[in-house]
Amino acid sequence: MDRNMRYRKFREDADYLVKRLRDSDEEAFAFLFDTYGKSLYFYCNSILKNSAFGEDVVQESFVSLWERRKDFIALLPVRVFLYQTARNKCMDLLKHEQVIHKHEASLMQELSEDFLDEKMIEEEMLGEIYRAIDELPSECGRVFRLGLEGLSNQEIADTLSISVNTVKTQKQRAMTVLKKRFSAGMLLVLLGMTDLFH
Amino acid sequence: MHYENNLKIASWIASRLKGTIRPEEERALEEWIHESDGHRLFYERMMDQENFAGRLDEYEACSLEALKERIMPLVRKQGRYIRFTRRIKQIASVLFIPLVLGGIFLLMDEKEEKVPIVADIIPGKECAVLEMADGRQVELAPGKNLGQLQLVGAVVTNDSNCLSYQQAGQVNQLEYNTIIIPRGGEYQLTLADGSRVWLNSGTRLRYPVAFVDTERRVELEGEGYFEVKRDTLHPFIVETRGQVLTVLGTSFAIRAYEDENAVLTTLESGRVNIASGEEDVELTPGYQSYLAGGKIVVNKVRTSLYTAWHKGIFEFVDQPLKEILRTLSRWYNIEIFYESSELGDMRFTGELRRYDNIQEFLERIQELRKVRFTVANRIVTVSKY
Repeated sequence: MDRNMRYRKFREDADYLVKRLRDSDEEAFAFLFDTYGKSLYFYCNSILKNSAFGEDVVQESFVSLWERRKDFIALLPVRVFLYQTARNKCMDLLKHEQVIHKHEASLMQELSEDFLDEKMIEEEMLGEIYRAIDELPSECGRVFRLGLEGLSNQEIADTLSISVNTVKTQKQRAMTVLKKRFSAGMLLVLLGMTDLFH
Repeated sequence: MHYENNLKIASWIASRLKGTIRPEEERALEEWIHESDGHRLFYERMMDQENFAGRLDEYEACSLEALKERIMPLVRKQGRYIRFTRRIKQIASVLFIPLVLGGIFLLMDEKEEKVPIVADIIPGKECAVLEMADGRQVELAPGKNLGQLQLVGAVVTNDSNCLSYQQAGQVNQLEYNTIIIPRGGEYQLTLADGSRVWLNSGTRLRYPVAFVDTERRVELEGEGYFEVKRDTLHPFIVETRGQVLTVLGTSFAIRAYEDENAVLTTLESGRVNIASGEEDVELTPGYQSYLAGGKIVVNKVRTSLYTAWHKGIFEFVDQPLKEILRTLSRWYNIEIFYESSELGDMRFTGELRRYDNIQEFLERIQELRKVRFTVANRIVTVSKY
């Protein structure tokens, strides 16, 4: 069994994923980073307007998550924790910056609660759509994406130089995949050898 | 609370776009959008085609791999340690007395410097050879495009997970394919009836590309885990050396290597019938049949010991070292040499992820100071500690 299959298991079974995280499985942690990292990163960037700082905050947020991994029993609190931590760290950074550059007082005002909530919704939504496209086979994903962007079947066919029928088939295929994700069970974890007899 | 709300709303919007939203979610989303002008404007802004496409481009263009490379080492160190000690406690609580002798060494050893076993042994990977009815051979790797293979009554596709057959039209004649898994390989297969088979290293499976007749019959040599699609009208039959297994729909593992005496069949769910010569037994879940020398013995077993490999894990409980290493030698494609044969009879317990390196596993055993391993040119020599 390869990483794809373990990732699929994580995707399908959130309780299992969180349990693995609690049990210090690095791969579960890596999965969380691969799944939610980008949205969090764009979220931080929209607050900080600085991608190097954005990366730092994402790093710190995920490392705090790892330190607190024993505390979680469901996925939603994990995701909330990441945003909460990131938001606080961003705010700290901005305050610090403001002390240094007093003239940018306007920056904080722009960051109302509503603005922050909207950004969070937008990035999470995009992240989910992006993952859905990414998980589809390539042509299927392209068709699906153009459909999401509002193109008609004819327009999609023209853009990708394929027939309208292919567009329809690929759309159906995308729907099938998105609606029913396979279930293949997997993965505990390991390590530790004991000699029972001497 | 607003964080959780935000996540919910984000997922509703995404589901609406994907077309997978449920009616009650749709209603809740509509309510939220119309709750205030701010929500409505924000929603419209987000749905703006150009903005949406542009943002998706950003997601596609962005890679956080470098960042991940920086983060993972921070996590790794702590992880290993904790997992290791926890595991010991777990085992200790179950098997308290025998552990005291072996286990104390283990715990004390943690402070000591370990002698690393240096070796370039890498785990196996997904690979196989597909032999067509006309003898033509095609190498298989995940996702590799097989081109157009002409099959009677079936189409075959090879995606990143497995090789799958699909019945296509009526046939009145069986055409066979054989999949061959080398040492150091594994592969997954979906047969034309939808049954799934995981094949372990050093295994061959011969099967019809499409099923006709009243039965579904395949031939196995080596080790396979089967999840048979239920079809009471068409029994599924697995022939192995000296044994015929019949099921209607169930999951089980068969181990029938040429270099091992016994044929082991382990049942996880359902019911199977096993026949060999005059012998004929019925297995129920949790039981294993052991066929050797024409005799079948049925035992209750911990099934995961015989099935966990298909989930990517090797699990050993109180097993002789020679059995453990024989199993590992197929996957890592190594040879084992014992300086004296009784070393192979020592028993060990532990788990190993198939895609982990074998070195660490060997080091863990070595830490118990019973045996020592030396590795050279894919040969592992076992000597007394």
